[in-house]
Amino acid sequence: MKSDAPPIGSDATPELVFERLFNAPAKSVFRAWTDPTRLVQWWGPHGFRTTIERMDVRVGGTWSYILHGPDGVQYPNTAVFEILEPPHRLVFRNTGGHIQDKHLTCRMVATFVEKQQQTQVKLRMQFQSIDRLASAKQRGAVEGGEQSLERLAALLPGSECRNL
Amino acid sequence: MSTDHLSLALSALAHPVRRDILANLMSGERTVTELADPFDMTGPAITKHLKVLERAGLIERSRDAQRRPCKLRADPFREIQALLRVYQPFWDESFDKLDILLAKEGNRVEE
Repeated sequence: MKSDAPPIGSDATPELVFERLFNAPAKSVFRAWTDPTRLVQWWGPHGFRTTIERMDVRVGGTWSYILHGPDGVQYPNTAVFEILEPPHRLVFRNTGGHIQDKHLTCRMVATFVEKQQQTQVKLRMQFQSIDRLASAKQRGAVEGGEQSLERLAALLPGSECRNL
Repeated sequence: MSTDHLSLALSALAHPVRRDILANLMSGERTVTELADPFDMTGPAITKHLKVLERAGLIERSRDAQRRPCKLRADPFREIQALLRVYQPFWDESFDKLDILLAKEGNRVEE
């Protein structure tokens, strides 16, 4: 399925990157991302619960789910799978409220690299329509610059990917 | 591609060399020569990255005609911080739970 979004991994894609090393083979990690009974056990921050209405795990298939906040607020999401390469890569386009922005659309590119029984997961959130982040901007307006610079460390994951 | 400044900042951050440059600037001002030092890159190549960072408002270069040192600008990071304040805990805490799930499954006999 061809889309008009920038190519994955393009130098110009606005994205946030999150990484974690897991003590499990890639097969298990990939399964935890694509098996609904497993996914609901970990998806979402503390205090949140995820219910899945539909999860059609194939290219072009739809995955709709609701995040239930600790305050009872529901955040419906719809995702469409774009790439499934078990157990190495999973790409889907997610529209909906990850916590606050109801209409935020971003492409999630998850890669799973196994090394000696461990799996490095790299999740890139590629924002398709940053204009919709206006509310996020407003929320952040009170934050101090110094603290922001400290948190920037989260965006600077070292140099291991310099040759990408 | 959208050209609002948050998009520009996130795009600028998408390149590993530029992230490294910013990381180097976190400890203070640097000249172009100093910034180029850790990389196997020509001056013009580094300058190109600096221009992207400058256009995104992530760095500024002083008017001092001789050295023109670069330094970080805090403003765009404030907006990125707003995004991170939502997504950093989302993924940190989700990954914590995933870690627990995988450990639990690892203790069982596979398949």
